[in-house]
Amino acid sequence: MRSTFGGFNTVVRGIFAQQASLDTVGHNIANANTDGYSRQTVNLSTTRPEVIYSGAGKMQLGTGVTAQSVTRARDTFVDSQMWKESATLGYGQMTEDTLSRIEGVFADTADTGMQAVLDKFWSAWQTLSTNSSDYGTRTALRQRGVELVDTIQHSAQQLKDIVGDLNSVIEIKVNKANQINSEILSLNKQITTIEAGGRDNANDLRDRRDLLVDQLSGLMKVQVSEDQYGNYAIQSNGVQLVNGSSYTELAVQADKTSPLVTSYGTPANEIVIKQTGENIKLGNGEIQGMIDSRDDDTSGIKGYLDQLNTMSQFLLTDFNETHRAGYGLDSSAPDNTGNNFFGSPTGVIAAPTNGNWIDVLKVSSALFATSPNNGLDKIAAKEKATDGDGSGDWAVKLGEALKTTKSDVLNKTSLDGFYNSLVGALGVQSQSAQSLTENQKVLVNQINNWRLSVSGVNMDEEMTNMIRFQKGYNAAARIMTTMDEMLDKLINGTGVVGR
Amino acid sequence: MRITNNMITGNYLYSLNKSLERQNDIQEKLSDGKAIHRASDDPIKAIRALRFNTSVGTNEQYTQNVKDAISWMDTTDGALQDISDITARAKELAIKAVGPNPTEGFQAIASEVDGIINQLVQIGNTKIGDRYVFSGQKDKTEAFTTVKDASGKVTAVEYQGDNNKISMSIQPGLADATRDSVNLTGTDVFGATSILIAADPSAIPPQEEVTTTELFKNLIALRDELMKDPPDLTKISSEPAADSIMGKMDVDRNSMLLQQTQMGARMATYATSLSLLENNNTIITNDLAANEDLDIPKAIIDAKSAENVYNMALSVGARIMPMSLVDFLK
Repeated sequence: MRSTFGGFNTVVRGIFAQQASLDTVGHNIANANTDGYSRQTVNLSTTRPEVIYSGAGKMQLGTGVTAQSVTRARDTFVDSQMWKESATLGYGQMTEDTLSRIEGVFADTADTGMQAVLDKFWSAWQTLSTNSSDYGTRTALRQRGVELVDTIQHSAQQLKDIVGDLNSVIEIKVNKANQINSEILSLNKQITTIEAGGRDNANDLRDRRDLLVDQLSGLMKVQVSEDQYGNYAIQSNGVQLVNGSSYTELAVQADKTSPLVTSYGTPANEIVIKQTGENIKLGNGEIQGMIDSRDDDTSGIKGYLDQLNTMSQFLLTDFNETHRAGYGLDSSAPDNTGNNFFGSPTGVIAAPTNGNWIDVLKVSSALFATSPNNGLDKIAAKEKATDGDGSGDWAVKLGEALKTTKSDVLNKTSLDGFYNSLVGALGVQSQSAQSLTENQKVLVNQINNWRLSVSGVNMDEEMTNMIRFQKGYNAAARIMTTMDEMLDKLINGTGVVGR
Repeated sequence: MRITNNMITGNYLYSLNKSLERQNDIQEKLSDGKAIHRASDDPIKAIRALRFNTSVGTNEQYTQNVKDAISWMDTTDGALQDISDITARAKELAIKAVGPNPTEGFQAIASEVDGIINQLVQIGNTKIGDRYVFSGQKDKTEAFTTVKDASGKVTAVEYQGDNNKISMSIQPGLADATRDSVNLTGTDVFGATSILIAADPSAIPPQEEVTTTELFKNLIALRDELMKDPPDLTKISSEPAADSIMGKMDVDRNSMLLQQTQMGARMATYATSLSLLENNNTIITNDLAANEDLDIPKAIIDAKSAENVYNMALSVGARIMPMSLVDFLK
């Protein structure tokens, strides 16, 4: 026998369930534009039926609905895809960024830049060869030499400045990663507490945690696994970053062995675990992208500093050697031959102990001397001591040494050829980084669409649901009214006999 | 596939941004008419641009060298023309001297020859800028100086230059004196050098060794002979001609004329080189332009179509973006 007022409970449950659903619609709409939000659904299920007995036996009478749980629409497979690809994207973007800045240093397609300076230096030798006794021409040549030195050193300085920028950005990003990791740890704890009973779902906290992993995955390669309690354990390239109880704090530390430091004297940061000081590699992502684009021997800043270094070395060794073999103006002066154009005034220039030729590079100070003889006399334009001062044959030879003579120092190319291949290689590297990043962006975009397709809020859907739950609520209320009327009849309209 | 509102906005923004990027790219190219702005725009073209720019520079330098060489040779040629005229006059005077002349006549001829000597010294010291064209490689040294006696009479002309050639290279490769030389030395023009003792009574010690050239030696010999009273005309003209002053002057003049002819031929070669280099310049400039200049009509069409796409995206976006069921629910 069912209870007289049992129907009310059924209806009330219905009203509550519709309300909860409607609230969730509201929550979805409110968070439609929240980053990382996944749409939520109230899972409704029937309540435990009441057993009633009738003449035909017992039967199950429905007692209404209950909101079983609120769950979020999320595809963890898409998440893991996303995290993998966004690390690659972050790496690519940083590589592209650095290469385009290096391109700025070697901006050479216009008629300014290193190539133009090299051309002018060569032209100055040629002009000297036609008028070698003229001090004006010699001064102009010396000035072109200074210009070349300045250009090489300025380019090197610009590259070092980029290294400095990268170092500070790396530090900022590492701090950000630490902050993200500590937040993930705290969310781990909150989520496990909430979900401890096994029934509850910490939807919004999980959304926030996934969003943090999204951000972290841009910075470094991450591997995420979830344990039975709902903790995220995150590893990067084998290093445990976060688990249920702690997180590993990362730090930057000056790398003392990097050639950037030992040769070029510019600080370089490396990533270490703060507690142990152990040096780690993050595999992928923005941070590693910046480190690699700084340290790589071919496509990194170090590689390009090496190339400038090689050019300086060529000028200081091979070019000087040719210059030493020629003769300067004043044949009577004993020191009119064997002079260097670059570096120290005479003799073979020893390799610098730190390998940095760029810093050694300068136009020989002897060429600026004013006494006892004019330093300009030492510029070797003559081939033989017996030649008159009007002879410029050696200046032609020195011009050739810049343009066409192949040198072992320059990998068996000429200085011009060497610089050409530098620019070419840079262009190809930058172009391929751009297209790789572009492709990766498309891929990440695709994955993001996929994710939005699962987790995103669709207004039409929400509106439809709104109408659905509104109607459900209305109908339940109507049943309540009907029951009210029935009971009213029962209580007030029946049994009036004898009153 | 389930489509959500943020997907639509996200994709819309992505495409809109791409369309803007494309516009920006074309805009950058159109604004200066160059198809490449950084090496990564097109690495191959970028290297070619570098090489072509270098070629333009090289070509300009060699053009300048040729022009310098031509101006040097023009100056030389002008001087040679004058020398040719003056030595012709000297020969006329020598012929006149051999005829019957009064003593005053010899004196007059002698003084004209003296004038010629001075004139020739002046021409021998022809300069281009501050460079003596006939001094060989000692181009900052005055080519000819005169030794005078107490009366101011020129007793010897000293050659101060050397016999080396100045090269102005007009093509890649090392300088080659036979191919690239532009100058005529004092000995080329004024005859071989020899050392003589200049008699200078005013100097103490009264004599000095002087390196002189044939032409001046012979002219001074002619003048000195005519100054004598009476002059020994057989010294001026006799058989065999080679031993006489006039015969020697002919040899000097002929060798000078030979040099002038050769110089003329060289100048013609250099003029050809100049026009060749100028042609090359046109070709390289064209190559350079073809390599890095923008195809303007195509770029404008691209710009227009990018603009259309952008406008279309904007208007479609404005129409579909706000639409949802919300707009239709009362």
